[in-house]
Amino acid sequence: MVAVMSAMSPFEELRERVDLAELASRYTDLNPSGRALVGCCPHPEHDDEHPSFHVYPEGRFFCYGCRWHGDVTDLWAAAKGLKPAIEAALDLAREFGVDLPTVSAEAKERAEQRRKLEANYLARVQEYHAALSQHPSVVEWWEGRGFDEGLREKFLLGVTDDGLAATIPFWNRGRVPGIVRRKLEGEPKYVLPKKEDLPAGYRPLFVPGRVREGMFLVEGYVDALALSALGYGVAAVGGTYLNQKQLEELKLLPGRIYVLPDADEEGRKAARRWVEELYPKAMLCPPEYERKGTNDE
Amino acid sequence: MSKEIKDTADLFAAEGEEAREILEGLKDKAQDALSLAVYEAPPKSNTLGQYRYFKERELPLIMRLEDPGERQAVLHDIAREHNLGVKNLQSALTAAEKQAEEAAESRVAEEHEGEDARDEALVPEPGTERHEKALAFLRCPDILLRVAQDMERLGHIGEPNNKRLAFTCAVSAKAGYPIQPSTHAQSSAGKNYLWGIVLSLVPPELVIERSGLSAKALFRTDMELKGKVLYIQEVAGSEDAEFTIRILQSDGKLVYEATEKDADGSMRNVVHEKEDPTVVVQTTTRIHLHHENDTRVFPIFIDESSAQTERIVQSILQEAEEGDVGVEERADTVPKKDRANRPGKAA
Repeated sequence: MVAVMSAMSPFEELRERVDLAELASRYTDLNPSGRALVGCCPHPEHDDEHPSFHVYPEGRFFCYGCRWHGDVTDLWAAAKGLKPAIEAALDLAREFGVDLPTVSAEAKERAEQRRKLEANYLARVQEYHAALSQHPSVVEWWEGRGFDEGLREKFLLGVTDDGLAATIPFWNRGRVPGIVRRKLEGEPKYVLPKKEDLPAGYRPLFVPGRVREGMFLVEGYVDALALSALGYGVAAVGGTYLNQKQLEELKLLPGRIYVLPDADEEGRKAARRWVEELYPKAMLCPPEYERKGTNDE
Repeated sequence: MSKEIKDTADLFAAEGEEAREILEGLKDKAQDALSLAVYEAPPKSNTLGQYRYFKERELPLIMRLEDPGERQAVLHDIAREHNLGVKNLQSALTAAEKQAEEAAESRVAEEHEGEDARDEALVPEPGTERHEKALAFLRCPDILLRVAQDMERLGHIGEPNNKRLAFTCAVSAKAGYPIQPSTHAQSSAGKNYLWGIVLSLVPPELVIERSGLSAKALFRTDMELKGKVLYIQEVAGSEDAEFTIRILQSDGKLVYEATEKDADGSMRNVVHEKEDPTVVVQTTTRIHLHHENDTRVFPIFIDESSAQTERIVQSILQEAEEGDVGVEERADTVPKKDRANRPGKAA
């Protein structure tokens, strides 16, 4: 685990190590509501009388009253009157006894730029999510895939302004380093963020929820969202080609990895390659998604 | 009839929360790569095939196990499952372990030598012993004979002409005059074994290995193709890429323009360009490739005669008796060609 931590930015490390719900409960009373914990907004400038502050299990909070959102560092910065940047991260690390790796001035600068970029993407996916109200046909499309209002809100699923594509934040452990567009008609179905547009310079795994032992590994983003909605830990490759960085990320995940292939030739071949590359960590599940007898009628 | 469920997104859409029951069942049925490989091994009657299968498919997986005790346990399980002699498998495992150990030691040594030393390891400096050895090898009039002999020592039996042809094709991209091979034989006849040995003599940074390619993969890849060997293990599964491969082989470069969407949603035309020369190594169980591709390649037919099978069997028996190619010998053989291919276009 030490190796994982040292490869992360201070902000990522704090997201992994500091429990957002525990931190938030210092400033507001939280009660379960669906998949989130809800309380009055603790932002010093928001006099929230009706609980509108939601804490999600992915380590992200959102206030539906004042639109304030972020992670543990943002919450700590607001509570302590610090800028939500490296100073707040270092202060939070001191409070929770988290040893952050030595960070050079250049690395700090890079981490902050990356954080700003991710904040911009997060703001944009929130706009896309809000735009769903203008496009009932896309809401219907999401509903048809089992993503009700609660799940759309949880994952910030949305629609592009022109209504031609559904949008999915490129979730990676609570961060949004890009946006995936899923065309409702035409090919290719998915328009992915370009490698050079991603803050890390490569396409990481798509991890819509928390990392935990015994995660599933799948091809598609919607596959991963579905499993996360069911409460499973899951990562998606975003196709059949597993890049080297994704492979390294997978090797560092805790416990076994269960690969769920798409039930087609390409999917089976890719999944087989993955379990070989990840042996002995990965296990291949058979792509038998039909209930026995359901399609024989 | 309900819609076919082909992935977990479909499953969730169809079953909602009930999908958990199916997913837990799939987890229970999950198998690791080695169990799958053991299950798919050739029949027990095919001892030769089983031994080769062990070395090519099962041994690399066993080597990923960190615990030597676990490796031994798995080795014995496999010997029992395939009805093979433990001694033969043990010999292969010991050789692989020694090779891995040496490779690890070499990596550590290289890391300590620093960046300059690593560069020096890639390209021999004029005046050094390595440079002299590389040039002496390149000037050798019977270089192809020596290559074939080295491949024999690395475990590829017979077929001297195929060895020379394949090596010539492999280094032709670096030389700037690509010769495109296609390798034909029945399944398990040794097509990929031949290329595995040939490409072990080529610097790894010059080899791109793929099990399959989609239609536009070569246009869009971030990999540098110039001077490289693109090794596609089976043509089956890469039919969509036949056109791209044909253009690469004929025109010497790939240029593809597409309209793509920017992160902000606006459309723009993007030109993807890839430069040759690239040697595309294809293996197939078919007699011919696509008819238009077939005219651009130099076919290599693997010897599937009973005499060749007899030579392989004899070699395996001898190997079982005397042990595999020594680690030191293998280490000495591979870097020799590796060095020789790095000075420039002389190869």
